[in-house]
Amino acid sequence: MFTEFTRREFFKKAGILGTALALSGCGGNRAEERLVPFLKAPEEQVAGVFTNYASLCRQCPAGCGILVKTMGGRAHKIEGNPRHPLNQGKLCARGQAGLQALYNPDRLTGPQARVGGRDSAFGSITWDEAVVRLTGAVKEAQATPGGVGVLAGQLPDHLYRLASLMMLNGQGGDRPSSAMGRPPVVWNLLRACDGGNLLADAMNDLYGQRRLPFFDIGGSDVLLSFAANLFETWLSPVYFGRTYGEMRRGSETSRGYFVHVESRLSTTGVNADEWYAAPPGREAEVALVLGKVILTEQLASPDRPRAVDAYFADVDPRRLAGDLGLSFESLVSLARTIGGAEAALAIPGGGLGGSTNARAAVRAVMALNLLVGADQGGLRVSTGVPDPVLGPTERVSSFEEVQSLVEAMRGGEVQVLLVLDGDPLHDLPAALGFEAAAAKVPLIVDFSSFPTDTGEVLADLRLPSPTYLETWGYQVPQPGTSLATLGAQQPVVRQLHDTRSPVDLLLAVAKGLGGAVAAALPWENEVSYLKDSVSVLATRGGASIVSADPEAFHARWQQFGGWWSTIEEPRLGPPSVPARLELGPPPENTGGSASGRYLLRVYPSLLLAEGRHANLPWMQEVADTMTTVMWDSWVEVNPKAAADLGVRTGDIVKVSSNVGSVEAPVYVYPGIGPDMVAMPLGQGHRAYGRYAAERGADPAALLEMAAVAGTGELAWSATQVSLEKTGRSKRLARLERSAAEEIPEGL
Amino acid sequence: MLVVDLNLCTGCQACVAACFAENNIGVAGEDQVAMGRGRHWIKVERYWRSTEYPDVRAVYLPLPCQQCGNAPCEPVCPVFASVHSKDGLNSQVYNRCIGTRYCAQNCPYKVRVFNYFAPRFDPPLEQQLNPDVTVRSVGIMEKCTFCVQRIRRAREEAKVEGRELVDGEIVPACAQTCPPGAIVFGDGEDPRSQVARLARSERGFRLFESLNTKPPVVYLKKGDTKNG
Amino acid sequence: MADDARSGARGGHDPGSPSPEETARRLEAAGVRTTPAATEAELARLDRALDDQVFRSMSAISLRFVLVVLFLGGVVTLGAFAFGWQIYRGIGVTGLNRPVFWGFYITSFVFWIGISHSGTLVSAILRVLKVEWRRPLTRAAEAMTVFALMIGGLFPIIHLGRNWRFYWMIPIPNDRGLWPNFRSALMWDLLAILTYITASSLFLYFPLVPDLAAARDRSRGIRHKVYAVLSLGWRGTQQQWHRLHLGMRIFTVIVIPIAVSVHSIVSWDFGMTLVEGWRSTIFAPYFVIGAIYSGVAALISVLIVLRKATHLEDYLTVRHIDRMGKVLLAVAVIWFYFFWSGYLTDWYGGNAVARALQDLHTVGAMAPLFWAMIVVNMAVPFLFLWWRRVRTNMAAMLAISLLVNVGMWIERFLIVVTSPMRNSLSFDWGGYRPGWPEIAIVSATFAAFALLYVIFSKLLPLISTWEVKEGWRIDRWQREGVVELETDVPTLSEPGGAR
Repeated sequence: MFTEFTRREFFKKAGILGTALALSGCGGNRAEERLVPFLKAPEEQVAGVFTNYASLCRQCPAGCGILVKTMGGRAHKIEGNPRHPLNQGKLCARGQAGLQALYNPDRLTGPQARVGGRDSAFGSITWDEAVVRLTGAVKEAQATPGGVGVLAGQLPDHLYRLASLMMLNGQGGDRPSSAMGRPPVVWNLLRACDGGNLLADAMNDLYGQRRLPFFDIGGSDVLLSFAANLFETWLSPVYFGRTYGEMRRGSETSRGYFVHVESRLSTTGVNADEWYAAPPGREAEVALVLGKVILTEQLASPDRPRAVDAYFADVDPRRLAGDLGLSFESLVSLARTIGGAEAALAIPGGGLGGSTNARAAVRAVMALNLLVGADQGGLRVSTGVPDPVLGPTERVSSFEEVQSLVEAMRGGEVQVLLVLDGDPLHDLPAALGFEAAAAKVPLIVDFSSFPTDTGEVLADLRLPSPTYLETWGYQVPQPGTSLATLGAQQPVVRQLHDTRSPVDLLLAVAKGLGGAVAAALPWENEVSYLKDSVSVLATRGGASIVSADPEAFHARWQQFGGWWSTIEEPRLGPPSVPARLELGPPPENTGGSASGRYLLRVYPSLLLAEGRHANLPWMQEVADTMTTVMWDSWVEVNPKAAADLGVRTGDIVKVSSNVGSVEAPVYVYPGIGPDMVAMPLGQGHRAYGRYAAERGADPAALLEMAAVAGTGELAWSATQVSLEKTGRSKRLARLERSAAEEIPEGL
Repeated sequence: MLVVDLNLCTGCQACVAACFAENNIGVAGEDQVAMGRGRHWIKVERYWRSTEYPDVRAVYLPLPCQQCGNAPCEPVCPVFASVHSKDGLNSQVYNRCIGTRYCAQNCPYKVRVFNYFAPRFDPPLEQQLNPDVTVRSVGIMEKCTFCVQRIRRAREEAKVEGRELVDGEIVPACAQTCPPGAIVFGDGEDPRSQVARLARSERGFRLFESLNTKPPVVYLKKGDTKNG
Repeated sequence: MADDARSGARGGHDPGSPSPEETARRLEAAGVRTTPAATEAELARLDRALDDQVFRSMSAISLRFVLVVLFLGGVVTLGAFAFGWQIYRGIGVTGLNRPVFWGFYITSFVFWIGISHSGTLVSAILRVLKVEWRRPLTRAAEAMTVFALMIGGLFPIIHLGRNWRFYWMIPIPNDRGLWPNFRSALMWDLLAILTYITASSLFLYFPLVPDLAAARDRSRGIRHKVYAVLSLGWRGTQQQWHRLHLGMRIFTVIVIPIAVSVHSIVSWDFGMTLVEGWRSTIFAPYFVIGAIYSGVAALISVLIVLRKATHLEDYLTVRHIDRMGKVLLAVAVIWFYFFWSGYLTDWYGGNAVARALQDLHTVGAMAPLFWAMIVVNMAVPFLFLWWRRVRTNMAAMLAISLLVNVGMWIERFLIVVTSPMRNSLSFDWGGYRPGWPEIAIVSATFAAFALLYVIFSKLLPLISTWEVKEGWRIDRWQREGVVELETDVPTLSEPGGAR
């Protein structure tokens, strides 16, 4: 019954079985070929044809040209306008996300007014009611000089010009005593972090032209950035990125040389060949060391204005380098590199503007530029407005002007406050007291397309603007290029909601007011205003568009996304260097320097800027490059400081200054010194729609009102804070899922 | 072929945002991205070279799908959802995918993205969606396609106009927007194309060459020293 | 050697052969009863007692049984609800992410396939080797294979992002001419599992037929009809017995390579990839031995519970557990040898990712799991199973066998889930925390496993009665010199001219 089943037989049978199994695994691998036809749609089928509209990006003040791909009346993709001299087809992340502003689910769909007091809800009204109410209020306020205030974070030039004309009763120049308003106040923390006014002041001091410089990075071979976050949010990041690419591509053998000086390692700083971590607020002193060494080693440009030598006379470079905690030898080596460069360029970045000595700091960097002859190379002045008729163009106010407006509000002087753009309740430092002052203003009108904090909490009347993709305008890029430019903005889709352009509204109000204001604003609507304005350029030669017919000119101006000169602006003339450049005393930090205190450095978020983009889900979900954090705020703490505090990434700390406190998770960040902490701007909205509301923290609540010495600007990086563990922690949403210290093979 | 010059990448994230816009990528939200479920088709990965303050150095690695010529994701898919196209792309056939996630496990570059939940486009955000690109459903794998829809459009335009494709005519969204021009796309088989010239650079390398995945994405090393 | 011993023995009780006492001791060690040969009457009594015991336990339904069924059924229902929730909301209700794309489900898949091993493999190997003491436990073992496969086979489906499309993996002719990808290890898996479940079901079914016939003859009504159909008209004719034995002999041989191939193929799901921690040449034998390890442990647990719950202590004896304990110890040592070989080469190689993975295991976030695995899979069996007192202590053996299975589950978790946590891009290293549906579903499968046994015990005989009866007769014949027993102990006698 149990016959022998030998081992040999066993193997034989097992072998046959195994072979059979193996064979069954082969064959059938041609199926993928049969799949391909279903993967690729038949050739003759396309979803439709895209129509490209040229327009302008208004996501930040830079004014890049864009092309919007539309199909069937919908905008599907934004790309850079390759013809626009500023960005030449390129665009940044924030520009790409403009579509989510247009199609934002939380947009206001029509004009609204409070049904009762400021704590009551909004009810819908008609535009006619809105115009009547606004006109009535402005008419009443007209009686008091300065009774109407205009506040914005950024304004397109055509709107700025119109608002200025209106506020100043149609008169240009300074504020006439009889004017009903004051020049529009354009300011927020992003503009403060740009430090544009400090740059323009320095240019004014040197060349007598109060215009931003533009930096010809592409033509440079050694680039020194003094706390300039070139590739993040500073002034015109796409232009800087594009020209940086030109510099790096350079020639076959050279990739250029990029040096970054800043107390904190920024996204920009990582790209540098050398990063000098000067103490916060003392970045510009590196320029002094370099300048002195260049002078001593006789590497300075022979064509320099000799007066500039005097600036570096008293510098003891070795001691100063030691003071700054930097290696003197490497600075000497750097100075030689600069001295030997064909076109060295030093950029005084916005980061300098945070300290109380910022004015002197910018000048020191400018002095280094003069020393190496950059004024004949990469340092140039922006082209201004192509024709005075098109001005005034947007001017960023000084912080003093913001303070004086808030003061006037507090004093009950301002009857009507028009918030033409932005979200002052979120964007202004809390210590400024805007919220309390706003309570004294009888009528606050918010023009934002979104339910901003200001609109939700303070506004009485909400008159939503169309987004920049639904309306008209023009803009002179500042800083621009060497080509005079007037960018054209036009609607690329029909207005999604019942919105109205602020230009049309202001024109309607002006008509209602009559008198000098109506006379100064004679246009029927936005389009006729623009046509009338830009026609001055129609017949000008040496430009991209020349046409005797204003209508045709206007049409082509819009078709190409703007008008630009084809003739380069001349270089700067010789500067009128003041006899002596005082760098001034080292920066002073308010709040004392007791142990356990850290200098707070705020910086505009790469993706959310000052908070404008916090309602765009793409911008929340794209990771901050250095920390890779998404959807949140964080406090950057040096690893040693974090160990001393006993906190790890994700632990929530309370950050307190003398004026306020916020809570945010820690991000242990190696690129920051142990005596400082950094926080990005951008989050901490009370409202602003589903994607932004109640998310993260706004460090603007912490800032003390220190001024940059000798100017009316805010020293936004002069606040000391303390950190306190809360004992709570959270899973910080990060793209990196670990420390990423193991470098991948080959990289 | 895609060439990424690490010298030029500034870490500005424009490519990532452009990719979101072009390819109808759904936003996952804070809780989901915290779990590692972000749908970024291209990531800018930041690697620390040194973290000793003040000697802190990092390098950015923009990482799209490498479209391997010898792709580890392809043989492992039981239903041929991951297949090689004639042009050399790794195509992900969305409607064939059943979500075994085997391809993602076997991907050495970790660039495959899984739809753990159905993507949500809060109205009217859906109006932005690119009509050339499918919106993916829950439970399937997706990844960078080198903007295959743009390749197709360019090819059809050339065909209509009765001509050959020109070098530089096909531009994926990431390369199109990249301000410093760190990303360049073109036909690697044409030795005169820009990408072919760039790829011959001494700095050129491919990620994980030892794995023999033969990716057509060539990185140009970031120089560390002066004029290097 | 064996032939020599046999030829030595052929002459009868020559002085070189062992003493009867020695023979009896060795026979007992080999599982042969050493009590005097039973008479026909005694055999009949034994048969009746066995039948009574086995078939009575099938019909009696106690309150305890109902409560157990309700409890287990409740847990299974919860798991089914969790699965429904997962389908409704999306696979995102799990804790899976990037880079950990596989989690509890695949861990449990590998685990259950492993469990499924010992059943069939232990039974088949013991059958091939003609180990006599196997007889009472083959049924439970074979059933374990089928149950574990039924459960394990569900996991790849539960795990899919689009579960409702699972049949696309099956090569069904369709209008698009689409065929699954046979280059994919998952396809091999599918085929292997289908083959294995077919083979092991038949392997369970064949020896069931005579018992089904016995059940048929003892039942009435609907049960009778069902058993009548299932027993395929078994009458116990000489020819039927002959065919049964022939079929079993063939099957026993076929099922062993199938079993080995199944777990090898499961291991290739991992071993064939580029994932550090997975890519390995040792994985196939390592997984097979791991499967046998967990399976033997599971079989021990099952036997201990069954003999207690169904009062079959007389047939599933302490000695069985004792012997299985020895097997477990041997397998534990082999398992550790494989584990250590893989670990050592990874460590010595010094590959950054492999190192990072080992750091994660030994000192990182997974250290508690890793060291728990080392303790329960290696230290515990190695320290305790040497002692007969432990091996014959049912409580201790139940604890050890359950611990080994916990350890083997952890081992699978460490391989399947933690390996992708470390990869060549340190930016993308990650972690994993299971979602509640994963925990619910995995728990439900354990409940389902128990539930299947509970139901099985009421429907089919848990002990292969005819094989036990046959064993008694073989014992008798062999004592009377009718058959030769093929064990590694020298035979007592050799029928003349049997070859």
